[in-house]
Amino acid sequence: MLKIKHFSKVYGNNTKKAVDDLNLHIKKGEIFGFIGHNGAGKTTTIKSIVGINEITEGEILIDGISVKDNPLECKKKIAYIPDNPDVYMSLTGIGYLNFVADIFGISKEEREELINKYATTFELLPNLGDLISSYSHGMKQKLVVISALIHKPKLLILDEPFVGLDPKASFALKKIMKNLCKEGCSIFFSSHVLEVVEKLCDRVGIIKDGKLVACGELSKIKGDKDLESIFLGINE
Amino acid sequence: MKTLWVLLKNNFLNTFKINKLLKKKKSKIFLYGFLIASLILYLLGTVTFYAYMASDFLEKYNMLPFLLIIFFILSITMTFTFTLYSAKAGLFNTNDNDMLFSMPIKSNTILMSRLLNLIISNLLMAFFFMLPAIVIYDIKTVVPSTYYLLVFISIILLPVIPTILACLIGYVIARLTAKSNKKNWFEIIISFIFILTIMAGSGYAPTILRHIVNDMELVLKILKYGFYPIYLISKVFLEYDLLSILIFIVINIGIFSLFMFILNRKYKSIILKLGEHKTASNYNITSLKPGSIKKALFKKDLKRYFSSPIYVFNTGFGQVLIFIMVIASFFINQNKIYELLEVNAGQATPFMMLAAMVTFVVFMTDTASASISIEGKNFWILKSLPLEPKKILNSKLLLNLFIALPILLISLIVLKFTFILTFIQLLVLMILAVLSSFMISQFGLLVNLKFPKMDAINDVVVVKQSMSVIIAVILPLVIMFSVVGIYGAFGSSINFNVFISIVLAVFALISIIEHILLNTWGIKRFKEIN
Repeated sequence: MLKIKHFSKVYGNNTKKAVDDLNLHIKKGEIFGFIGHNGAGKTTTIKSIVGINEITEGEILIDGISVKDNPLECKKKIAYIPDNPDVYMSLTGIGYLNFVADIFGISKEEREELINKYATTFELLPNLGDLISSYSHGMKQKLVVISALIHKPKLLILDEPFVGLDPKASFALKKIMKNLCKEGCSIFFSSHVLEVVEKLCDRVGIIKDGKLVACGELSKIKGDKDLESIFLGINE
Repeated sequence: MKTLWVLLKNNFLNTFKINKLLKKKKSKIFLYGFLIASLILYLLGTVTFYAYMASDFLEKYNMLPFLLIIFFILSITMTFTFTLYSAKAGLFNTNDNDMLFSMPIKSNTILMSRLLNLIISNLLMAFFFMLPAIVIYDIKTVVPSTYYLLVFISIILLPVIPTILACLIGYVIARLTAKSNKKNWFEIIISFIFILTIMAGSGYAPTILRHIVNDMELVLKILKYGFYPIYLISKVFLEYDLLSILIFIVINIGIFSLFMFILNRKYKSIILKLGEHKTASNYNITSLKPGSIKKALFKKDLKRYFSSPIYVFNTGFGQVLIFIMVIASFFINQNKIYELLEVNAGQATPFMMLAAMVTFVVFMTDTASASISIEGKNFWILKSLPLEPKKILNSKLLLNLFIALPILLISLIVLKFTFILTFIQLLVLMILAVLSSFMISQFGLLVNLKFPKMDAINDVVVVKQSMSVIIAVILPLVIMFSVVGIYGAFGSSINFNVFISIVLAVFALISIIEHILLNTWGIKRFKEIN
């Protein structure tokens, strides 16, 4: 579903690469955890996958389509949840969801059904008529999660998705992630919460200073240790 | 004191992006420096011209000392007006409230830094505006050795009272409307009413000037009992009275301290109160209407526009003026309107005046120059959604045309009858309105793509202080006034119909070039912005 081939990213006139020759392959129905210290290149990679950043070198393919050559087709298959849920303060929650639904061309019946379903799951339904400027951080995060789910993405990209969510919402999101995978959706997510990565992921990748230093099935990477000691060992 | 300095320095570096600028190539720094210096020189030249004209007029009546007083009053009015719209955002609604109040910084230091920020920016403006009058006065009269010291003290203290007064009024407006769901609309309407009142008042300037010439004593008496600080300034420069400057200093420092003392006691709670939102929390999904992508983008942009009173005020003023003119045309007789528009002055015809007015109104209505920057931290949404950049840019242009054209075109139809224009003349004016709207909105968008400000702490920074807005508003106006000036000088040798045809052709050509640029460089640039 997601293939990253020799991807490198350089910002502006910098000489240092923020991401250096990254190669990854995420299969259909797989949950992939992407971990690394602050500034390692996780968000840069994610922003390049979803088409926010331009690709300096290499190629990123989504369902066989190049992000560089055909970004719109790729974006139609993706949903992205950023690490900071900055959304339009001047809209109401339902206004924002309707906006996203219009962009993805979701039918009236489908949008009503899915918004109702996910807003109820995340206990945000009563607040959807209020302005987003009145939302707390967690509520905004829930709204962004709902907006990502209503267009049934084939690939879900999440950057620190659990930050700001209450335990109930975190639990609901994890459950939804697992269900989506069963339905064939692939999930690529970054997190600092290694316990969550251990519990959810089939495979993990560890990035350090822009380079992928470990990648593979969780059990093989971990061996008989826990993920935290492996991560700390790599970053020492 | 050290913390205050750190806060002031930080704000300065952040507002003017100094660190980012210093990291640019030397050639680029030189280019920016050159552009800014040219702009400053042009504006300084314009102010000098007006100051010189005023000095000539006053000199005829032996009233030259009033030159400084008139410029002081103008500076105060400008300071007051500018602060009124930035006070709420600058003092209360800034994005760094949570961060600063969580730090071990006294609330009065935060308040002081923000108040000083406002005062310093007003001070720069006042100094810039006053400088030509100060020098001309020195050249034309014999001034005492203390002249520049007195000027320095007066200018330093000049912005204090109007800034504080504007902050108070800004706060009252914000407080009165805080609990309403329609607070943005209230703020927009109150702001327009207020500024129009000031404008109507300034319409009496010639009458006031006549009073100054006829009865100096009466004017001083009015100032003494109505505007005491200005009376003191008058005494300082009419009589070089040192006691007056001392009282002026004491009054300003006193008012500043008192304002700080009172506001500081409630500062935090005011910020919290202004941040309160009315929520219903009882939503139920009934029926959601699907719409096209174009409509969704436009609706989103329109809501964003009207959610920001400062954005509306900054770009909607021309529209309000023309609307008032149309309403006035129903009640005021034709000759009076001709007189107000100075139609009979020189060889100007109503058609000429309306052509200039249409261009001016459109040039003032440039929403596009802030339309990318205003996305700020929400920009990731547009970039990650499956949207062609062209559609996003078109939506920004559409918003500009939507704000600029309907009122203007309807107004022109009404004004056709007031000014007894021919159908062809009306058509030409309408084409001028449409072409100039296309030209100015595309220009604004291009400039904003070149100079985006995505990390602004509030809308005021984007709408009033960002490079793109400054360039996109001032440059077209400079060109327009230059063209009008050239026509004024050589008008007798050029037929106006030929002239307006050339203008239309040039506007059309520029619009086509801008369109090509937007669809090539603009889209590439859009993708580069993060």
